[in-house]
Amino acid sequence: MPLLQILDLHAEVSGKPILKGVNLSIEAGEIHAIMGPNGSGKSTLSAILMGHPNYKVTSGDILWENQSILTISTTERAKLGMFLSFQYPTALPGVTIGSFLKTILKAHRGNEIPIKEFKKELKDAMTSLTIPDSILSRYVNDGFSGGEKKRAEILQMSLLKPKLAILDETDSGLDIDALRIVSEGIVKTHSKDRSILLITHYQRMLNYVTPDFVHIFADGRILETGNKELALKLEEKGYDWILGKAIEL
Amino acid sequence: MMLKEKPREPYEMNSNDNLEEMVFPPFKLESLRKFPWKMIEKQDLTSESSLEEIRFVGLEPEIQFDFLSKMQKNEDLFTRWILTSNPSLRSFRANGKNGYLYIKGKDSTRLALVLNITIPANQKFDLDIECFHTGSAKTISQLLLVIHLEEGALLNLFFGGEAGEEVVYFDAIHTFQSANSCLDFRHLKLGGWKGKTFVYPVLEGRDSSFDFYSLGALKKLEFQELEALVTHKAPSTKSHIESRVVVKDRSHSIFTGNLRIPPKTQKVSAHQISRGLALDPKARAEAIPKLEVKAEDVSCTHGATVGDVDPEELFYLESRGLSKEEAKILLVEAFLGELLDFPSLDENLKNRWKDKLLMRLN
Repeated sequence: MPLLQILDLHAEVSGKPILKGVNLSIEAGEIHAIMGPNGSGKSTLSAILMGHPNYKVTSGDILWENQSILTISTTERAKLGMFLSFQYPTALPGVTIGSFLKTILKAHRGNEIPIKEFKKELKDAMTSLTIPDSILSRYVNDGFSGGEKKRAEILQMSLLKPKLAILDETDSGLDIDALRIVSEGIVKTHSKDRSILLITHYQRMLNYVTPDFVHIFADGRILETGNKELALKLEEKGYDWILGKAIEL
Repeated sequence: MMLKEKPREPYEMNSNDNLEEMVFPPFKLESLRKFPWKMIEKQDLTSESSLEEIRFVGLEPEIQFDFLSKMQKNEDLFTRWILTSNPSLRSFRANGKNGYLYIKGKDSTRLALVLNITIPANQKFDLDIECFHTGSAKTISQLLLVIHLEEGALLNLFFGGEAGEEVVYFDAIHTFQSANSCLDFRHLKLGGWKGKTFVYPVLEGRDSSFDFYSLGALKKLEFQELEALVTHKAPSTKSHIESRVVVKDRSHSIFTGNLRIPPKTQKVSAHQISRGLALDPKARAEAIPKLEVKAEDVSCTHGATVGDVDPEELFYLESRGLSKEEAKILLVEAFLGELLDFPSLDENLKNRWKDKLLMRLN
């Protein structure tokens, strides 16, 4: 049984069609990469999967373990085990990272986490992502550099251990070292039960996070699916050859 | 107006001016339209006022009432009104590095209190003030707080006030700053059926700076107005005023920010920002900026936002498993709590007032 199935999904924002028939199936433990040019609808897809209220699904369905999740809230989707690493994570002035992480862990697990256990989990995750302790007293994403924001997203993912992590351009804004560290953090959370949907422009993160499938996304749908070789082909040839296909369709 | 009574105690005396001589505020003024003037009788304003308790540490009582003559000539009617309303008077001088002042008005009895606090030259002082007054309908609470910062003084001031839900209050706060003095002021006033707080900072000396952060959380039919009038009398002075308020149910908040920069007062920096969170459709938060700038070499800004919590912040928290309600509470707590993250504020006090804020909104 697939963990996630997207069936002929059409969606719009303010009456403008963005997704035009997306089909995708992700089994437990699989890593899928979606690549595509700017404005093709990749980030919209991730927001719709998470239930963003600004987008309207006009037809099609999203199934989670064979059940439609179109009518359930973002909160419930998160509790099912879906996690979105935002391309532009929102700043929360006044909310310290330390208390935020404790709050979201409690929301997921349904009870207060013993402080000792929380500290140990947190320390392990922060060490592997080379995040300094000083971040805990800072406000969530407030005044963070691009790299700090992305590390903070992956830190949350490491603690929440979602069944499906949707990573929306997590590689953007990262230097070479940060890309490696963040990628290693992603790989650590991957297991045979945990899947990843990685949205990116570039092949470089796929050197660390090896995808089982690569999908090329343009004009609101998936135009081609292949293995990691497809990402290399894109790197070499660009998107023009595939955009021609979109016009034909 | 003259004070007619002699001091009763070394640091306590009453003023008992003739109320008949007092010119009352023109009640048709827009800023006064929300007040239940018709319900207030003259005897309400002259009835006996009493303090149930006043405690202090780090403050030295002194017989120093020179400030009264200055206050009696003040253009603010509410300030003069308190002085004609038979108030208790206290004058203090900061002594040491930090101080605490606790005030409790007698339940259902009018509170009229004038406090004068001086921070000596070149002294760094942290001061926390808490003021409580419960009462039945029409109980009036009047507080006049006058703060002087002598040359080079630094003051971190927290004021937490709580009034009973039927109390009508008028607070007037005057600050006078000499050269090179800095005042960081966190102000929080909760409760009261209807209430007005007037803040009058006067930057009298060069290179003095005034930072004022006000917090409010209103519910039911409460009305609260904060009016600030910042006067930059000396060049190279700085002011920053920030008001944050959360309104729910049918409550109503008004922030009026007046700024005065006289001619030839150059190199002044003055900024005002008002942020309101309206949690219910009938709750209102208004911001009224009034800038009177007659100097040329100045930097002034003002801004105001009013709305519900940011939907993107809400979505971010929901995507982390928090319900909409939990996310809203967290965001409101953060919105207000950020201004209480004030290094000099005692941790217990901070948590107590954070809890009070949240209890009002949950």
